[in-house]
Amino acid sequence: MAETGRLTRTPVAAPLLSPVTLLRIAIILALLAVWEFLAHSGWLYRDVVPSLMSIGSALTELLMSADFYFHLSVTAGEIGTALAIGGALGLTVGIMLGANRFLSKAFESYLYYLGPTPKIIFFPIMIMWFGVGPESKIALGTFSCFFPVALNVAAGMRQIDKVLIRVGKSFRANSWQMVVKIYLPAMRHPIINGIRLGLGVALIGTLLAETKLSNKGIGFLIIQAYSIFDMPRMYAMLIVLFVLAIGANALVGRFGGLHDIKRL
Amino acid sequence: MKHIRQLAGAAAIAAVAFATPAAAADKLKMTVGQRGNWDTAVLHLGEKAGIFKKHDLELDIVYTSGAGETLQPVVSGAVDMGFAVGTHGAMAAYAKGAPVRIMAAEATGAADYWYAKNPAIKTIKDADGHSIAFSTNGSSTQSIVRAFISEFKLTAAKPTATGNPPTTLTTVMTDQVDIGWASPPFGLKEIEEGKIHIVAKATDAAMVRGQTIRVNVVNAETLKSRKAVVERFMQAYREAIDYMYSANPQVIKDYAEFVHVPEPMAKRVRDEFFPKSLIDPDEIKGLEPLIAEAVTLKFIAAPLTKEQVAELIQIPPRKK
Repeated sequence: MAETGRLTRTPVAAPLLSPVTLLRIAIILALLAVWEFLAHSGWLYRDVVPSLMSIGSALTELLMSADFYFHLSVTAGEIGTALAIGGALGLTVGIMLGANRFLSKAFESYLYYLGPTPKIIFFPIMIMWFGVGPESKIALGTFSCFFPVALNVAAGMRQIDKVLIRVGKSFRANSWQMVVKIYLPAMRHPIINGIRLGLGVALIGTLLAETKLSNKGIGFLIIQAYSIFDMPRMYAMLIVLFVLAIGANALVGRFGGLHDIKRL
Repeated sequence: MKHIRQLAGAAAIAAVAFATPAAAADKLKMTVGQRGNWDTAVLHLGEKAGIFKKHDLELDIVYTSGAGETLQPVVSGAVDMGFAVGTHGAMAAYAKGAPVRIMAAEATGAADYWYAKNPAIKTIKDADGHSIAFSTNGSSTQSIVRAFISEFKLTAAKPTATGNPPTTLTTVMTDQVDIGWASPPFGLKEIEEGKIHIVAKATDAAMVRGQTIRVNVVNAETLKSRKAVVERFMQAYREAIDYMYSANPQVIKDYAEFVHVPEPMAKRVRDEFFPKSLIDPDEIKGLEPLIAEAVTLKFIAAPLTKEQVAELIQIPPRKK
């Protein structure tokens, strides 16, 4: 009997870049092209849309300046501290509200109402309570990031599988053990999402406060550049902030294991 | 040898025991609005020249984006002093019981100027029927625009709030507003490039020339408990102003570096826009019209009495 060969498929090398990645790159390149066209078109006042070359030059000068890193460390310290304090408070309050229906009904609506309020309007109060130094910026950042963390954690608590809670109680776990061994692991994704949202608003709140009243930090540098109309330098700082915010967000996501979720 | 070692040891102990520690400088915290203006650069330039250090003063300067943020920390006691606060704002805070006192005039008259892109608008008299910018409601620039309208009979002019100089320049260059405002050195580069031209200076309004539109304030408790320090500070402040108008080229160099402009432009700012009398701290001028205007604009409910004025304005006398 004649032997028939086995049909095999020739392995095809995986593309270097996926179609999604290619589309993302194309979008960025298209935006850059539109920007450069606007910068040279004369339709807009020159310095409002500076050319990419001038922004690139300002960015290089910025990254080579030791002074910039000092201000960056100040802002990063303020945001990190705000996130730590606001996150911890939000986590605690979220767990309390999520675990207790009475408390949830009594207080959670206040969080929903206050959450969308622009926190910058509270900055004068922060100045009076905490002074003009980094403390008032940290206070504003803390106040900003508290709400998304608390609300996400409260919602996450209510979604924990009841079986897990019963298992914990059947092992006679005390409150602390319930929190550490049952609630927190079960709520990992809502907590991380809350922290990601909190990071964003803490960044906004802290930078806004620095633009209003400070003598150090990236917000201070941005407003100084703006006040002398050094727009390329201002855009360069915005780019650095944008990249750092993306990086921090990705780090938080990775730390929370969100990369495990299969994307559809 | 043993004796020499013993003597050396005793001498060392004596030196440590009797050495007086270097006196720590007195620290002052302050907020400053409108960073970069010549009149608000007194502290920076004086610090750079070592004048405040010479008077045993250490300054902790925080820059703000406006009068509100400059005054509030003084009211709350978070800082000792606030610089370049609108005179009306200081009166309003005092009248409401805030612990603020005026310790110096900051700007009598103003260096602000108004400019246009349109060559048909040559002087302020051509401004009738056009939009004229000012920063925000209640600001000194709004008062100046009101003075222009009143003195030059610009009945059809349209005062428009445009915010700070960079935003204002953008609105003028994009033809949203006809006449913009700025405070030097901002805008001088565009003037030199021929993109805009000066239409009026604040001092073209007679009312502005004789009025102290901005003041420096001190927290009342600081003035009471650290009066000697405040007096020493004012002495140093006056010395810094004398230095700024001296022939020393370093002051122009330092100012140019501070505001990122070329030195000739920095010199132009001082020589063309800021006569020394403008930043003379020793007298609040035009007090009566200032109080009357504060009542009209509802900064204060009623004119300040003589006693209130004496309590509010406490300028440390100049030492001879």
